Amino acid sequence: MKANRFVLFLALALGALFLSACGTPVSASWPGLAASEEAAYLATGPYVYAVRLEDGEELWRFPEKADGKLQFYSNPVLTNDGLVLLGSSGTGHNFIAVDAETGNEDWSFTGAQGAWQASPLVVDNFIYAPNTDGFLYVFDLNIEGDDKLAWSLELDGPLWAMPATDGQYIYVTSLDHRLHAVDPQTGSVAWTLELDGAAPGTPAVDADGMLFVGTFGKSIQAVDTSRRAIAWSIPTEGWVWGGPLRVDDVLYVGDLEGNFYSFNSSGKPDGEQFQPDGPILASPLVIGEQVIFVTENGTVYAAENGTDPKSLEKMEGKLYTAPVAAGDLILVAPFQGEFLLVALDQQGKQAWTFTPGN
Amino acid sequence: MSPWDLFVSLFVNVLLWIYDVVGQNFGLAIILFTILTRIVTWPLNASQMKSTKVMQDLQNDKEWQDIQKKYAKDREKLAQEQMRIYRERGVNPFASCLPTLIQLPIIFALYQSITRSLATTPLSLLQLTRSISSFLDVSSLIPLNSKFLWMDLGQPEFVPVFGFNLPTLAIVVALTTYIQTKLTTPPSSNPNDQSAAMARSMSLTMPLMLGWFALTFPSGLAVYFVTSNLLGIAQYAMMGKANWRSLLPGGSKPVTPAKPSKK
Repeated sequence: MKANRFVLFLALALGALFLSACGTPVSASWPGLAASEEAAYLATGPYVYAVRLEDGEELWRFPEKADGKLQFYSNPVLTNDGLVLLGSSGTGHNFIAVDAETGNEDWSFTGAQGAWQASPLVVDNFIYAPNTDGFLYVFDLNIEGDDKLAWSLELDGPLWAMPATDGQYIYVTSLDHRLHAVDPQTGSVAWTLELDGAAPGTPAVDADGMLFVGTFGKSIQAVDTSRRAIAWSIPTEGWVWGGPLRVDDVLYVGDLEGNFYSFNSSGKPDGEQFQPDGPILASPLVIGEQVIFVTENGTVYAAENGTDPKSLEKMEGKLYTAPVAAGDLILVAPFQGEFLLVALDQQGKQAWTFTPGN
Repeated sequence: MSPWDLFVSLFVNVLLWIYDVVGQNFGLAIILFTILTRIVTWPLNASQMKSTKVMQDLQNDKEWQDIQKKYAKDREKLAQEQMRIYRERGVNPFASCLPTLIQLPIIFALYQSITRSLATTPLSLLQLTRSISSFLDVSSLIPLNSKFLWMDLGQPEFVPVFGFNLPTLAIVVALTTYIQTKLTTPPSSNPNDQSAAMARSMSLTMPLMLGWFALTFPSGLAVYFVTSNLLGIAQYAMMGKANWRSLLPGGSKPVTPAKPSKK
């Protein structure tokens, strides 16, 4: 009987350990990152940190004391009137606006049923915030008081990507293989297009009415928004997670098989396909003349003037978060690395690192 | 990929294959997968039930109880006498433990495969993409349809009742766990002994623990708990081992100690 008791306790202890610790927690993911002219905003777990760009010192953290229900991983977004927008992907589905200067909460919304994996899009005084519950929530900053929800629209399917706009429509991609064009004037779906796979990245939209999106169908798809149809589709070797970057007439994108592509807007390759040291999840970044992209293996690459990308820096941890430009600095947020945030100059030299104090 | 990851990946692939076959219904896939694992582990469960019954019968045996009293202050002698009785009756005290130990990794892998398949966060989706074999058309499967009946299997379950969010599935998990624990606990001859106290404690802590998991984790896991509990109850009933009286108030009355017997 002693043996039975031992096994029982062992089973309970191991069960508790495996169920609560070893399985993927509901909210775990890689950090979100944004920057203004003065500060970087890093969303990682129970806190969002404001970090001074000058020296990497912590300015404030939100909330001051961790709340078990709030977990922050999506990229924070700044509004023109000095707010930082944060979405929680913890069990508390709070969408929160905090003062960028002080970190004090300004207003919040708790009516969503799902996690906030996607960053919101700010257009004028309107905030377009997609949620994993399949709704697009629209907030009007002109509304006085805390309840700023103007309207919401059910689009079905988990919405993980920050929307894009061409000035006429708000384009929202979903994991259920769809692209929705939402008319912000009427608050309704103008048209919907079927994609060849889930699209977790933000589309790139150009002035000619072309929209580019990467999918889990292993392709880059170009949508002619005037015809509301797929203009072309180019196969990639792996799934495309991050949204493509469009610079001048060239489209840059990476895939999970570890390939970096450049296409022109007609879908023709622009230069050689490059193979860095690992899979690419994050969207690339343009800073000055350089196109920066990062790999899962922790390497920051820079491509310039059509030449082969060169390695700027390799760091401990995995780089899943898209790099962010802050003045002359390139900010990267390693996942499971030595530091939470690293600032590099354009030659790849470390300017400062950030690790939060207690 | 570690051996454990490979093991979990195997479960993920089977689970997603079932999901695809049953028309992309993840709730149904979890139920069928739980049934499948119960069928595979049926011999282990049956062996454990038999061994537990043998050990429980031994606890109620008069000779066993006599040596407990006689050598209560001499642990070494008591252990020797216990081993003698084990030998004489051909009882292996570890026979009821081994099946449990073998099943533990299966239960944990099943849990992890459910949470990994639900892929509610970017990180878990990334892990999922790396778990799936090429025989499955993953891009058409993602995102998994996590809606089942009134539930979103990727979220903890609540039903709004008069403005209050009632965790119905967590209650069902706790209730079925309680029923299963009570049914499978044979009455003891001495309710004050350690094993009886342990059984009473388990019949309360297990339902509370699993109920709490159901309350805080994605409801897909709660569907697994409920299915597994119901199948466990059914298996005990089919084997004629279910102690239905113990569900009634005062139903766990002590049994009269059995007379000594020798094989």
